[in-house]
Amino acid sequence: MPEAGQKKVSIRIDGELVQLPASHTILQAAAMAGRFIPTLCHFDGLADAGACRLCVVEVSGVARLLPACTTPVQEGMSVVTDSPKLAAYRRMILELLLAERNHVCAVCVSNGHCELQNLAAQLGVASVRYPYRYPKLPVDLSHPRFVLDQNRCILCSRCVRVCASVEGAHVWNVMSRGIHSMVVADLNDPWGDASSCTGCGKCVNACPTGALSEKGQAVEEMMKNTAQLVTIAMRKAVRA
Amino acid sequence: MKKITIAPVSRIEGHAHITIHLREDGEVESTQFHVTQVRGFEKFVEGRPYYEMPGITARICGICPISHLLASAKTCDALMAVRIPPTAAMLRELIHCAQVVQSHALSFFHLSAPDLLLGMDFDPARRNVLGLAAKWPEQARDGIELRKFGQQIIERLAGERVHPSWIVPGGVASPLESEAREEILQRLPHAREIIRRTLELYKSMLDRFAEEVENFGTSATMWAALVDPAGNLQLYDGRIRFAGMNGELIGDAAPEQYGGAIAEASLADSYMKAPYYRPLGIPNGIYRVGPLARLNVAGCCGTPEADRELAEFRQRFGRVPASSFHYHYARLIEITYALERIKQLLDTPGILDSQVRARAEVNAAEGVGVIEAPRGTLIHHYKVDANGAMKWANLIVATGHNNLAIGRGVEQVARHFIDGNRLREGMLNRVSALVRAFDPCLSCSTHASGVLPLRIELRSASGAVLDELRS
Amino acid sequence: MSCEAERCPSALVIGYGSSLRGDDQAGPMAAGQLSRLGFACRVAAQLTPELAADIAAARRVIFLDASVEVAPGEIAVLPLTPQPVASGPFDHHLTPAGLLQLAVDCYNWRGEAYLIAIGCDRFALGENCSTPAQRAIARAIRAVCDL
Repeated sequence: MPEAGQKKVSIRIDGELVQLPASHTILQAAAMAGRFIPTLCHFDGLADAGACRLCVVEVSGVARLLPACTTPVQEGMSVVTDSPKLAAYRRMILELLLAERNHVCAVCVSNGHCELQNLAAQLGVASVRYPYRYPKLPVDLSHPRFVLDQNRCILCSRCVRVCASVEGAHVWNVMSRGIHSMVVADLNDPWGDASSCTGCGKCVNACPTGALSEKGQAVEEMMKNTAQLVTIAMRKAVRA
Repeated sequence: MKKITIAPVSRIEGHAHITIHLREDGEVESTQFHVTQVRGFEKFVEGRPYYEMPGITARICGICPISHLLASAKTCDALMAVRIPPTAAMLRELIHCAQVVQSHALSFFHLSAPDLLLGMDFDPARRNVLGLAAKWPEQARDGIELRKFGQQIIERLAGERVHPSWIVPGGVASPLESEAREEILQRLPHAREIIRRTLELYKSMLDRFAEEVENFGTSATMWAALVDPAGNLQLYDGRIRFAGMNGELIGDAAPEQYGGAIAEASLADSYMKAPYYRPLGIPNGIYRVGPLARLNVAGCCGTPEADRELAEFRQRFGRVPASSFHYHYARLIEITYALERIKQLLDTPGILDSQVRARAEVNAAEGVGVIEAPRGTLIHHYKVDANGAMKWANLIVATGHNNLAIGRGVEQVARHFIDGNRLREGMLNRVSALVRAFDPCLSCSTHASGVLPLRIELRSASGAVLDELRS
Repeated sequence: MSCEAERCPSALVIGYGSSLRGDDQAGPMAAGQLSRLGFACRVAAQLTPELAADIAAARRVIFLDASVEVAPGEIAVLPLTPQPVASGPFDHHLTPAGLLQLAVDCYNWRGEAYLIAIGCDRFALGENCSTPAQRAIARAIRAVCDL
C-alpha cells in the first residue's frame, strides 16, 4: 500500500493509470491494478530475487523483457502484463524448469498442491519442447523432520530468503553456478548436521514444489501452509 | 485417412514363453516355461524416502495396485515399528476384499469363462470374453457388474483414481464416511446374488471337465498361504503357512522370517526367479500360492456361506484338491468369502472411527510386509538407512511363487493332451488354459501393462516348429 | 483452444496407459486435461470389462492411447466400430473395439466411437513424457475438441 509522504509516480499497466510510491515494483503496481502476473520465486514479505523470470513484462521503450518483481516503477512507464509474446516466453520458462530436473509428479508428495504444476496447467504448458536432462540428484533425508529432494528443486531461493530474513538463521544458500547450482545447508552439510537450523519449517512452507517437505508425507499429502507464512513474513517486513 | 492397426503388444518388454519338445515317436520329451523379467526397479527407488514406496510400487501394476499399496504400506509400518489403529487395519482389509472380488471376477468371467462356458475346443477366434458376451450375455454382464462393485468400493474409499494414495504408511489417509458405508451395504446383496448363481452354474458344468480336472497340474506340490492365528483363511494379515501336498502342516513363518522359509533359485539366463521352500529344496519344496492354495492351507474360511461352499468343494474333491483346474472353483468361493467379509467389516463397531493413522519416524532398518494378493502371497521387503532412504528392495509376487509349479503343470498337461502324431485344435489351448488357471499377471515381474504375452511352441525332435499359439 | 464439452453431453473420453512408463501415459494425460475442459473422462491403466458399463450410457466414446504405429508427435483419428476381436488369451485387458462390442452385447449400446492414437516412442520406466509425445498430446486434445 502507498504510504503517506512518499513520492508518488504515475504509470500505466495495460493502459490503466496507476499511482504508487516510487519505491514499488511493477509487480506491486500490477497487483494494485488487479492484473495477474504469474510468479514462482516471488513470495509476499520476502525481498525479490528475480530468480525464475516468470514475471517478465513488456515495458514500452525497452527492447528486452523485464522481470516485474525486481523492476521499480518509473514516472510515465507503460507496462504490458500479458501478450502472446509474454505467454510464449512464460511457457518456455516453465518448460525449461520441467526439463531441468526430475519432476515425477505422479509419485511426488506435492502432487496436486504444487505451484509449478498448477502454473503449468494454468498457462497451458501442454508440451515440453526441450529434452529432459534426467540428472542424478540426491535426496537429503538426514533431518529428523524434513526432507530436501533436489530432484524437485527449481532454485527459486524462497527457502534461502525466508530462512535468512524471517527466521534469521540463514541455513540455506545456493552453491555453484548455472546448471550446477544447488541449494545447500550450511557449508554443504547434510541438513541434519546443519547446526544453524532451528527446525522451524518455514523453508518447507515457502517451497513452491515438493523439493522441501515434511517427512512421512505420502504421495499428494504435502500441503504447504503458505498463507500463515506470508502473514508472518509481511509483519516482519513492515517492522524491518 | 491412413489405415493403421494398433498393436499394444509392441510396447511390451517381458513375456512368457513355453516350449514343448517332442520325441521322434511324437510323445512329449520335455517342456520349458520361461518368464523374462524387467529390471531397473530397484535402481529406480534407491535413495528415495521409504514412505514413497506405496505410491511408487502401486504403479508397477494397473491390474492390482491395491495389492502393492497394501504390501508396501505394511512394510513401511514395519520400518516405522508401529501397530496401526484397529480401524485402519479393518479399512485396509475392506479395500483389499473389494479388490479380491474385482480381480477374481476378471479372472473368472473374462479370462476363464470362455474356456469353461464355450468349451476348450470352441473356435479359438471366438473363444474369448466377446464370444462369451455374444452367447452368454447375462454371465458377461454379471462379470462386469461384480467388477464394478469392487471398483466402486475402491473409489468410494480411495477416490476415483487409477493409483489411489489412500493407503499410507501407518494406516489409511482418511476414515470411512457413513454414507459410503450405507452405499456399499446397499449394493452388496446384488453382488452376492451374482456370485451365488455363478457358483451354481459352475458346479453344474464341472462334470464336463473331468479330464481337465484329472490332468491339470495335479502333480504333488506344497501349498503356501497366510493364515490367521486359528489357522483359517486370511487375506490381509497373518503368518505364512506351508502345507504338504495332503494339507499336512510343514511349517509356519512370521512375515519377517520369510527368508528362512523361502529361497529364490535363479534359473537359466535372465528368467524370473523361482522361489521354493528352503528346508526341502527343489523339487520337494516347490509350492503353489493363490486361491486354491489358500483354501487348501486354511482350516476354514470363517464366514458361513463361504464355509458351506468350501465344505461342498472338499466333499467333491477331497480335503486338499490337487488339480490346478480348481483355482477357478476356489476363486468363486473366495469371492463369496470376500463379500461376506465386507459385510462383517462394515458391521463391526468402530469401522467409522476417525483414528486411522499412526505416525512415527523410521525405527527399523529393515521391514517386511506380506499380504495375500488375489493371485497369491505378495512379499515386499525393504532396507533403509538410518534416515529412511531406500537402500534395497525385494518383491516376491504371486506369479513368482507359482513359477516352478506352473512349469510342472505345463509338463503334465502337455504329456497328457499333446500327441505329436495327431495335432488337433485345442491341444495347445489346454496348455494355455492351465497357465490361465493360475491367473498369472506378470506386470509386476515383467512389465507395466498387465498383459502377459505368452508364446507356446510345439517343436519336433528335429527342432522344427509344428504348432504355435500366441497371445 | 475453444472447447465446448456441452456440445456433446453424452460423450465419454477414456484415456488409458501406464503412468510410470514414459510416453505410455499419453492417453491418461490427455484425458486429465480434457476433464478440466469439462469432458466426462475415465482414466485407466488399461481397458477392463467394467468400462462397458460406463460406455453403455454414452452416445459417443473417444479412446485415447499411446501408439508406436503413428509417427512420434503425430496423431491418428480412427473411427471405431464394435468388433468381436479380443486381445490375447492371457490379457487382462480389452481392445477398444472389443470393449465396444462388449457394451453392445451386454447393454445394447448404440453410438459412435473414435480412437485417437497418440504417436509416442519412449516407454522406459519413468514418468516424463518425451517431447514428441507431449506435442501429440496437445494435438489429441484439439482433435477431441474438434470432433
